[in-house]
This record gives sequence, C-alpha cells and structure tokens, in this order.
Amino acid sequence: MSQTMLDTYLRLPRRRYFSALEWHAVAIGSIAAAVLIIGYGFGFEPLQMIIPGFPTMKARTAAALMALSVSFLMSLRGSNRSRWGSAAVAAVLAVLLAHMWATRSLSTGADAWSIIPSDATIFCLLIGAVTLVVINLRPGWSLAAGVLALVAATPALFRIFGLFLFQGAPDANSPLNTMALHTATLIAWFMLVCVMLHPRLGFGRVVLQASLRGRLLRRALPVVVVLPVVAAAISLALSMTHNWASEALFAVNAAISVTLAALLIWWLSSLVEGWQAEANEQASRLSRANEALEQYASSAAHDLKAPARHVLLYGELLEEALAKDDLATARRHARSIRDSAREMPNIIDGMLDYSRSAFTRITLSENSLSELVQAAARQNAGDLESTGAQITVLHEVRMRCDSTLMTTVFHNLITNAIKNRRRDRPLAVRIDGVRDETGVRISIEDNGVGFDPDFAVVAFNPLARGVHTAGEGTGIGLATCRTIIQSHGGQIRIDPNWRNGARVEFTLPDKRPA
Amino acid sequence: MSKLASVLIVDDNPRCLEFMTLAFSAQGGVAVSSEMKPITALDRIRSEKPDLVVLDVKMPDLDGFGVLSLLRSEGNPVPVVMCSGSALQNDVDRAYAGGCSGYIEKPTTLEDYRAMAGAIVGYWKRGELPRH
Repeated sequence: MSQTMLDTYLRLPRRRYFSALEWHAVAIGSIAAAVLIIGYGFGFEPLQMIIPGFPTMKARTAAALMALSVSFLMSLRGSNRSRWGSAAVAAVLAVLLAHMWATRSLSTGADAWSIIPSDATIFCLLIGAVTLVVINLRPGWSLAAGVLALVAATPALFRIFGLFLFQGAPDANSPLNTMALHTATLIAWFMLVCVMLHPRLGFGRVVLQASLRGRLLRRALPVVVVLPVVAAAISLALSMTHNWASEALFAVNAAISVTLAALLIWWLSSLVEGWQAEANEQASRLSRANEALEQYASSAAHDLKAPARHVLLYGELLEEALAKDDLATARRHARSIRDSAREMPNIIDGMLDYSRSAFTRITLSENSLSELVQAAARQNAGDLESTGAQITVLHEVRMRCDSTLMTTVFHNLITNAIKNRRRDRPLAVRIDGVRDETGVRISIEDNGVGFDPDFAVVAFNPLARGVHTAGEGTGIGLATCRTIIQSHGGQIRIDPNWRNGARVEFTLPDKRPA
Repeated sequence: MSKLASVLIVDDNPRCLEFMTLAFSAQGGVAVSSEMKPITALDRIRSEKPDLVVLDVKMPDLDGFGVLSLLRSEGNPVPVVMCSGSALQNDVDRAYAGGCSGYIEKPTTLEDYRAMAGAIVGYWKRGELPRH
C-alpha cells in the first residue's frame, strides 16, 4: 500500500496522523524509561525508596519496550534505510527475547538486570518484535501483522481485564498473573494504538477514511473499548459494596454488556438512518443538478452557436463592404462583430452561475432581510448610483437561509429592476418581508416597465428572455433565482396582476421539506 | 411574370433577422417582412397572409413548434420553413410531425445564406412548397 494513498482517503491530514502515532510511541517509550530510572536508578539507590509504592517494571521489560518504540518510530519514516534499521532493531530484540525465553530457568543473578520478566511478558514482547519485523520487511503481509499484533495484545488485555474484573486472580496459577498492570497496559497500548494503526497495515486508513464505513468505525470502536471497562467498573463497585460472588458479578457484567451493546447497535442504526436521509437529499440535489445540466446543454448549444455564427457572417459582410470601399457599412459590421463577441462570455458566465446554483450545498443561517439586501446592493453599487435608484426595505424580518445564495437572489432581482427601469423616472425598488407561522414571504417591486404578461409565464425557464431586454444580459438570472429558492424549499413567482412595474414574490419556509 | 412572393421571417434575434432579410431580399421578386415577437407574428400571419413563413425554433414566450401547431390547428395552410441554430434530429422530427414544409439549420456563411434563400424561394416558385 503506497503512502500517497493515505492522503486521498484520510480525514486527518497525513502529517497529523503520523505525528499522532509518533507521540503515542514516544509516550510509551518515555514511560518505560521513567519507570526504569525511578525503579532502578540505573544502579544507584533505587528511587523507589524515595517514592514508596511507585510501580516498578523489570529492567529488561522496560528496555525491551523502549527498543520497540524506537523501532516503531524508525518504521514510520519513509526511507528504505530507516525501514531496514527498524527491522534490525526489532529482529535483534526478538533474538534476545527468544534467548531469554530459552534460558530463563538458568538465570540466577540477583541484580536488576538479571531478573527475567514473566513468561507472559516475554511472549508479548517477542510477538511484538516479530510484528515490527514483518511490517518492515513484508509490507504486503498486513493481515498477518495485524493478527500478530492482536496475539501480542491479547495476554496483556486479559491481564488488564482480569485485574479489573477479578482483582487479578481468576486463576491464581495462570502465568498471566505475574504480569504487572502497568506492563500489561503499556504492551496493550503499544500493540493496539501504535502497531494496529501503523500506516502499512491499512487499518488506520479504514478507520480514518471519510467513507460511511470509516465514520461508523470511528464512532463504534471507542464505545466497544469503553463498554467492557464500564461494565467492569460497575461490577467492581458492586463487588466492593455488596461483596458479591464472582458468579453474580459475571452475570451482572454480561447483562450490562448486552444492554450497552444493544444501545450501541440502536445508536449506530439511527446514525446510519440520518446519513441515509443526507444521502437521499444529496441524490435529489443531484437530480436537480442533472435537470439543470440538461437544460444547460441544450440552451448552451443554441445560445453559443448564435453569436459565433454572427461573428463569421459579419466578418464576411465586413470583407464585402471593404472590397467596395464602403467604410461606413464596414464600420457598422465591425461594431456588430464586437457586439456579438461580447455576448459570448456573458452567456457562458450566466450558464455557469445557473448550473452552479443547482449544485451548491446549502448552509443555513439566521439572516436579516436588510443585511441581505445591503449585501446585494453593494454588488450593484455602480449601476444603482449611476441610475439614481433607491432601494427601500419596508419591514424587517429574519429568515433562515444560505446568505450567499440569497444575496445572489436579491442581486439578480435588483439587476433585473435596473435593466427594466423606465427612463422617464428614477428607479425605486421596494422590498418587503412578512412572517407567518410557516415561514417568510418576501416581495420585491419596482416602478419599471414591468413584465410582459406572456413572458411572466415562462420567465423562470433558463431559455426565456424578456423581449424588451433582448441583447442585455443573458436572461438566466430569474432561472437561477428559482433554483436557489426551490433548493430552500420555497417558491417564486411573478405577480401577474401588478401593473405599476414588476413585482416578484417568493416564500422561504422555516422548515425545509425532507 | 409570377407575382411577388411575400415572405415573413420570424426570429427573436435581431442579428439573425438581419441576415435572413438580407439573404431573401437579395433574391429579387420577394417582399420580405420580419417579426421578433412570435405572438405578434401569429397575428400578422393571420391578417397579412404571407406566401411563405420562415420560422425560428427557439424563441421566448412561444417557440417555433408552438407557432406552427397554432397555425395548423386553425387550419392555416401557409408553407412554413423552420430554421434553427442546431438541427437536432428530435427537433427535425417534431417539426415535420407538426406540419412544417422544410427544416434548415442556420447557415454559417453568407454564400450559404444566399443559396438557402434562393433554394427556398425557388422551391416556392416551382410549387414545390405546397400549401399544407
């Protein structure tokens, strides 16, 4: 598995993922070092005398844990040299541990370094070292490495839960009973967090990726880990306060685990349901976008071909006029070429805006009508000033909407009002908002030439174009408005009975339909 | 001498209208008039009774198919040649099914424009564009 793939899949940036693993390994190595120094003082008077009750760890165990974390840190580096270095450290450790295992009955020394760790500890550390060798030398064997890491972690986990559940003695003769709690914790921590999430194993990628599976695993795994601990803590409390027998504790434990697991499944299923609703909404957004694209394709073909054809034709007319030395006509044709060419970028921009409005994800927030209108007016500031237009907000309302998209709606409507103003009087745009129990109703009216009643019927079709605005704008602004309002769950219409200019109304429900 | 052919050109785009008018006027023996609004064009076809209508397909308010079907539903037999920027097979089929006399894609050179206008007028003069 190449490491570049991580970047594509991980929710976390690769660097953060790697440094989190590094910190865990450093913490484990440092704790082992601290226990070693404090417990044995490196041959000086043991510091444990100064801090009574401080947990000790056998010197060889602590040294092996430090070697494991060093090997792990090296294996995270990308270069071949560090990979081989890491494998070499792990391999030497494995050989030493195997030798220790084989000769453990012969050891007679009494100093700190002669004490042999327990069988369970040697077993865990040996398997851990072998796991690191496999990770470094056989990158393809990720499953084998994962199984080895679990095998190494299992005795440690048993020991931890045994201590929790049975205060250390489910079976007094078990070799597990000789492993100290902190040794078991460090080994389980190292194996489950560092080794299991090693990038080369791929489990981290599955857990952390932005897929549905990754999202579920990220929520479920911590609960699965915490679940037995909670059950154990409750049983422990019961055993201490009520002095319950271990059979009763087992039954309580099982009951708690089953209940918590059922709750976990219930919670996960409701999460999945929520995500499914999200996916359904995305699907409907996609189908709206597809519809918009279909219209886009057919209108783009028609609308873009026209100016291109006109440039060609006027070019020919220009040549003919020049051949006849008719400069006045030639000038007129040259102007037409310029005008036709100028239409093209406008058409393309309008089309892109329109199709984009169907794709945009809506981010709802509370907005006041006047703020949105002000933001839109700022975009139209130049035209508003040059035409001496006045915009008035009659009643202030607050509405839940996507502020960027709603600003686009007001911008498009104000642009339309400016384009269709009457030249004999200054443009006045009045915007009003009314709130009722279902949502808000917004109206925008102006004193311009108004909509042609025939046009009003088809005004929101992206192909429609007001006759009196021919040549001005791309006529796609109203279609964009409709897409935006519809994606908010509202409706937009032109008031057909309004005679004193144009009046557009739209609704914005407080609750978007599912 | 045959009578002057009166042609009504309907297109919402003023530039297309200019090319069409130029091309048809260049034929001689043709009285060309033009209209940008399809609704007004319908009224004019009813009142002025042109010999030939050249009709754009994509127009606001009412597209060429709409104009054609209204004409045919009223029993108006005038020959209609549909003219569009893009000749999609669906559109062509729809136009002929709706009762048009011909379907052409808008040319991209002046020569083709002239040839197209010449052909249409020629067809009409030879009676090859019959009334519907």
